[in-house]
Amino acid sequence: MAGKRGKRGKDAQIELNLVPIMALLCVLIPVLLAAFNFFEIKVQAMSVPRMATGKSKAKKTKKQKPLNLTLYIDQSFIKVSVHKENMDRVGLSRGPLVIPKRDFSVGGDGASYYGNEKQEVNEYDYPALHEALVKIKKATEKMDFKKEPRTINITAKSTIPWRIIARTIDASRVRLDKDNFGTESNALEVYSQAEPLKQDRMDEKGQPMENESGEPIQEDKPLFDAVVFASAR
Amino acid sequence: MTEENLGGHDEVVVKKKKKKSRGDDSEVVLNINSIMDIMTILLVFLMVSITSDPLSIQQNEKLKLAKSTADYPPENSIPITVSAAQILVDRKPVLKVECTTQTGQQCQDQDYGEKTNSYRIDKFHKKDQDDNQFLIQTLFKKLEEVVKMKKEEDEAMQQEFKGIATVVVHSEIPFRILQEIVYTAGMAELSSLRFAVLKTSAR
Repeated sequence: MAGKRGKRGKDAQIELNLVPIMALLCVLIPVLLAAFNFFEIKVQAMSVPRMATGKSKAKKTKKQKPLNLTLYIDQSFIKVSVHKENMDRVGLSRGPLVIPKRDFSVGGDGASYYGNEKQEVNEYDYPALHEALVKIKKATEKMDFKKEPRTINITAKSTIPWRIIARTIDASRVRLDKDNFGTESNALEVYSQAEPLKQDRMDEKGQPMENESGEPIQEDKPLFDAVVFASAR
Repeated sequence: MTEENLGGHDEVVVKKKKKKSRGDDSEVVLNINSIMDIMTILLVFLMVSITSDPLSIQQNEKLKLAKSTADYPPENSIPITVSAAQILVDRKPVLKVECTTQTGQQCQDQDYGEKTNSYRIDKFHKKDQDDNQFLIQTLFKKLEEVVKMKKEEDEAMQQEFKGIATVVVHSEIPFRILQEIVYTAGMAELSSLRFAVLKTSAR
């Protein structure tokens, strides 16, 4: 008997009982799936406006005034303005540019901001806003700013929701592959699916940066991407 | 007589018999090794994804992010969450957001999905209890505490305090509340803000 037992001890294969581990995994995985985000979250950088009290002590010179590009979002329009001394030079000689909301036909495509269903919407004219900002950007290239102006002040009526502000920032952040979206009712859809222009990313010395395989690193071409939340008291 | 009680010769006979009759009444043993492999890989993937997400936002009716094409990754900073019902700092509730429906009623749970709701911060929480003030006193005190702790942490780790906060905002929160949050954060030395958005390809 003892010999048989000894033999059995050598040959017997002990199978690990995986059922409790399986049970644990079956509980853990649904819990983790519920906590998992299937969407991609990114961030939009924004700065707090700097406050100054009293008049500036700096001597008045004939130097280039700051662009001071400001967007004001109202219930029915977006107003674009710059420093009054730069108005003429950026093509706003008649005063601030007011871009009213208008009707667009949108949707009908999986990639659309508005989803698969075709619909008519009365929406802010983001294509026209982008066009206006590109014109201002091109005008500033001919002006003698020390640094490329990239700051945009954004302010709005107190009831305007964050989703509208986020979309307005989108229109001003990067330069798109089209400068003109036309006046057709599908302009918003064309704008919505336009791709950003690309440029080589530069290092601190102004040299193009390269990846590990020696290819230049590309980035979106900025328009006015330094957003400041301005307050209009 | 069970299989365990059989001798070595008898065991072989039983096995042969079993082989012959396999087609009729043999027991099919499920091999769970493969499924164990899949589940282990899935578990590791989920755990890595969840722990590497600095914001770990759960969207619901009270917290829906605005869509944007912004492409900057979130970084480890002080999180300020502004949902349709409350403001949280570092995931701890600090104050309530007043929500009223189109008819002027206080929002119930089923009302939070409506786009016609209006939101505001009660003047009780503001400086001098004045509705026109931008400084939310309750939030300011909490942010001061958190900033002080963060500064001590950074000092211990010999890092420079950068004053960055990530603001996770419900898409329907009005500009007025955003102004108040930005102003209050600025007063608490958080001058660089990152607003969380849901990445989309269409703008």
